[in-house]
Order: sequence, then structure tokens, then C-alpha cells
Amino acid sequence: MKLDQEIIKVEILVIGGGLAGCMAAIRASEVCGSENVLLVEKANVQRSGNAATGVDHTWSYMPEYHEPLGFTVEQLVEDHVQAMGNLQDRDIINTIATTIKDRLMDMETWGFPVRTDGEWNYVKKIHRVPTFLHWAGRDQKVLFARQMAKRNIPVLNRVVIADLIREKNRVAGAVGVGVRESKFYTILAKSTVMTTGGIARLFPGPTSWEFNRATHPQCTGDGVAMAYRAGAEISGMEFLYLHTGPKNFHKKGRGSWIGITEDAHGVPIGRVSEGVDRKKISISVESPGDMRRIYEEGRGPVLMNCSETPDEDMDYMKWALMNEGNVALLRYLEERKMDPKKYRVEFSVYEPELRAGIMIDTKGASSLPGLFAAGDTIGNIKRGVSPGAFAMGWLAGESAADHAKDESFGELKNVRDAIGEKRALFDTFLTRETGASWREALVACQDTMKGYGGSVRYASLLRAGLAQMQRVRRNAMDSLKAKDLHELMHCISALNLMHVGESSMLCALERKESRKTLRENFIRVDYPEENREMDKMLILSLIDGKPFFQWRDPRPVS
Amino acid sequence: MPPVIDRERCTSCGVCEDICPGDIFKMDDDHPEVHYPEECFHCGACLIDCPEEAVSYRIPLPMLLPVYEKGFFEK
Repeated sequence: MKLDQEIIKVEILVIGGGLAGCMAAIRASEVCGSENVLLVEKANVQRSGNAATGVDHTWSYMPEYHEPLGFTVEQLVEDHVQAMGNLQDRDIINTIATTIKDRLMDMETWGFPVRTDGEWNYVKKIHRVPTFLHWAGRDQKVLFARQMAKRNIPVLNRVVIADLIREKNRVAGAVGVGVRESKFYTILAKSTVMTTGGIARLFPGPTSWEFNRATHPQCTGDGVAMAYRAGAEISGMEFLYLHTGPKNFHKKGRGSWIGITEDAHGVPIGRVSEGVDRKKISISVESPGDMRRIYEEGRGPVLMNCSETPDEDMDYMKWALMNEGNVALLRYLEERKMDPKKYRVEFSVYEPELRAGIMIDTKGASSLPGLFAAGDTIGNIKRGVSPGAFAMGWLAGESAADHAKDESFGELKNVRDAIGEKRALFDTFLTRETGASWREALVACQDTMKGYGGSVRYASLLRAGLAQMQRVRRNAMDSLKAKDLHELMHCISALNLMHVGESSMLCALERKESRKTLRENFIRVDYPEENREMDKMLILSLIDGKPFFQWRDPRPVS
Repeated sequence: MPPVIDRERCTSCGVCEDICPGDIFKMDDDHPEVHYPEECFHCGACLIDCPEEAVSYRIPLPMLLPVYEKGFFEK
């Protein structure tokens, strides 16, 4: 099989059709017309991205609800810094906090059920202030797909973008391949918006079942890797983020459970609040570190105990989990008559993830002209999630449309060689008689991260890890074989994860200290103390193929 | 292997193949088939969107959820 060539010219290209990509495409189409926008998605916009089958909450600030309570936007920004650490750009958090109300109101007019029974259903759950809007978010991607269709925004589903087109100092579009049609796409665009989601599957999972992941396993850091290769600034790569949830049946949504986490002997393992509204405030709050300690102290396993949860609250918990992408888990419990009120469910700490990526300004522009980014693909903050996608997606789409007004298309003749190389590489993967499968490449990447770039890190180990990752990548390029287009998609993801891993280890080597937040840690065995001089964001970019580091203070609220 | 299609109920409308985020279904002779069962991540999209409720999951053995009755650890 060889790939046919298709060349597309469009003013604004949006890569990835999750929440951020849809918002970016919608706003860009409002500014410059839907015919000038193209959204490319490797799955189907209807059910793609980390919100594929739902997110039950959106942190936000709604003046009509929060002002009477005395809560301020400043408190919300501070809450984020307290929870996820100092190394975040407050101007981005503030931009999300101050514009999200408009996005939610827009979404309500588009038919999204952002209010529950007519009320702003704000909850605290495991957070410090009641800024989490609980809502029936299960079908938000379906509603976005409907909104895109209503606006005649062109969507290319089942096409995976493989690389950005860099023309001189700017991004001039991207190349990709069909997942179902044997085509190699060259897309020339005046503005490109990167919204490919987060970084899953960089490390082996807690079970050996590869796709058993708490977050969407198809979000493999593609956008971060592509931006890194193109020379964009990325940040946050050295930190490892930990999440917790049901053991073996890995799903996000810890905050939706209403019960007490305890050890095998019924002793709570975290902070427990009594006499609170369980629907609004999590009665039990524990950190991944607390959970690990329980095992090490001989008190495991860790259990979620819902036996004291009233029936009404159990119903609410199931409603929330259903809207948080846990439909399969709920059905599993129901079919096996495993009522969580009667049975304690074992919980565990999941594998490390990176909450890191492309650096943007408050308008969504990256350090490279022509490249914009939003959603979980950005590295300025640690907990952008759905409101980050809605708010920054909107702004990135607007900025991309504005940028396109004064920009010209790239010249194909200037970039033909780079594009030709990529196409030839994929043709080789598809036509090679024998070779390495994508699984081999992925396992080699994940094992390298586990062995050299995981929770135990120090200089010599990281240097060895970098050498190994480069060895793995070189050999993968020379030996990968894809039996079909579906496997080619996985080959592209595996190669991208190798670049993500490489950038993570490069940054880990550069940060000569150790520091911890509630859900993230950075441990250097050779530099065990926190170094206040490194209380800065570490920004990595490739200049002439070589890593270039910058340290800068987190930006204040502008 | 997950997911399982109930052939009695399935009308071969193709929704599951169309929307699956993992691209695990293929249409064989106009009927949806699970081509990459090990890549299913149980997001629930096909369970939710199948108009005939013809899809169910068989959860793989490594994903069996450990649960414990009251008093289990006091035995």
C-alpha cells in the first residue's frame, strides 16, 4: 500500500476536535467564515478527545452565583496555585476564570445543559472553593459536533496529523495521513491551532493491558511532540502527575465518588469531613502520596467505602460518574451486582502522566508565528481541563483568525523536501516486508521512561535514559512496519511519545532540585532539596536541532 | 473480547464504527466487526450511541475490579 497525495489550502487549520478544537473552530468561523476553517480529527468529533463520553464538572466563575457568596476571581486563581503549585502562569488561569462565564452562556444557548434543574450546581468536592460546576456533561461532544455541523464548519474525521510544516520562522500548516483512506495530506494554512489533548501512555500502565488508562489513551502528546520538533517553546515536561481511582478498571473521576477512602482495617487514610453536604463536598480527601504510604506501611489495600452514604447521595454519585465517562464501570458494577454501598471498591494510584506542553500567551499564541494552542496541549498551567479548553480554545481560534487576515500561504516549493521525506517514511512503514510493530516501539519507549525517567531520577540515569530513547527512536525509524493505516496511526503516536519522553528527561536533567505538590512530584536523588532559585518555569525549545533552555518567573495576573 | 455485538439486535447501521474513538470497528460486508478488541478502552461511546442497544462489553481479565464485602479483612 502506498499513500495517494492530497493538497489542501485553508486559512485556519485546527488539529484535534476535542473540546478546545471545537471551540477554536467555532470562534474562528465566526471571525472569518466557516468556509475558511478546517478541523482535522484522528477519530470522530462526535466522540473524540478526553471528554469523549463526558466530563461532569467545569471549574468556573459565575458572578451571579459567586459574588453573593463573597468568592472572588482572585480566590479562584489562588486556589489553582495552592492545589497545583507555584509554577503556573497566573495570567492564563485568570483569563480562563474571567471569560469562562461567557463560554458557558454561549454553550447554554447552543443547548448544553450547563445548569441542572435551572440552577448553577456548584460544588467544592475535593477542592478548596465551590467553583466546580457539576453538570450533565456526558454528551457534550455530541452537542459540539451538532454545533459544528449547524455552522457548516468543515471537519476531516479519521485523519491523523503527523507533523507541522515549518517554513522559515513560521508554521505554515501540517501534514497527515488518513486512518481509513490511503491518503497523505499536505495542508497549507495561514494559522494552525494545536488542540490534540494531553499526554497519556508515556509510561507503562499499572496493569499490562495497554489501553486500560484513566485518561483517553489516544491522546498521546502528538501536538506537544509536533510543536517541539517545529521549535516551539514547551514547559512543565519534567513534572510527573499522579491520579487515583478504581484499581484495574482505570477511570478518571475520583472527585465524583461519595465515600471514605480507608485502609484494609477501616481506618480513613486522608482528611475526613463530617456533617457536610456529600454531593457538594468530598467527605474524604487523600493524596496519591497518602495512598502509597498505606501500602508501604502494611495497611493496604486502599478501599473506597460507600457503606454510610445515603441512597440519595449514591444516586447522585452514579449520575456524576455517568457524566464523567464512567458508563462502562457503572454497567460492570450493575451487571455483577456489585453495589458499591455493599462492597468496598479497591482504589489505586495510576501511572505518571505529564500535564505539560506548548507555551502560549493569553490569546493562545505560541512562540512560533502561525501556531496557536489550547486545551490540555498547553504547558502554562496544570489544571486547564474543560474550562481551559472552552476558554482558551475560543481565544486561540479568534487569534488564529485575526492572524490569518494579514498572513499569506506558505510556498510549497520551500517545504517540498521536508514533506517528501515524511511521506516516504510512511510509505516505507506501509510497504516494509518485515519489521518492528508499533507495540514494540511503544513498549521500548515506555520501558525507557519507567527505567530512566520515572519516579527515581538523577543525572547519570537521565543521561543514560536520553541515550536509550534516542537509540530506540533511531531503530524504530529504521524498522517500523505498519500492516495497515490503523497501525500507521499507532506508529505515529509511538514516535511522538518518544519525543515527549526525550523532552521530559532533558528538562528533568536541567532542573537540579526536588519539589512536590499535592499531585505532582519532581524528585532528583542527587539534588534532594528544593532550590528557591529554581522557583521558575523551565522552558525548552529546539534551536537548530539542539535543546535550548530558558528559566522564567510564572507570569502574574496581567 | 470487548465490545460484543448482539447480532440479533444489530441493524448494521454503522454508528459504532463511525464514532469509536479508538477506531476498533471495521465494516465487513456492511456489518460492524470488532477488529482491534485489545485496543478498546471502554469509554462507553458505542454503548451510549448504538440506537439498538446491541453493544455490550466483556471486560478483559486484567481489568477485573477488586471489591470486598464487609468484614473481609477481619476474617
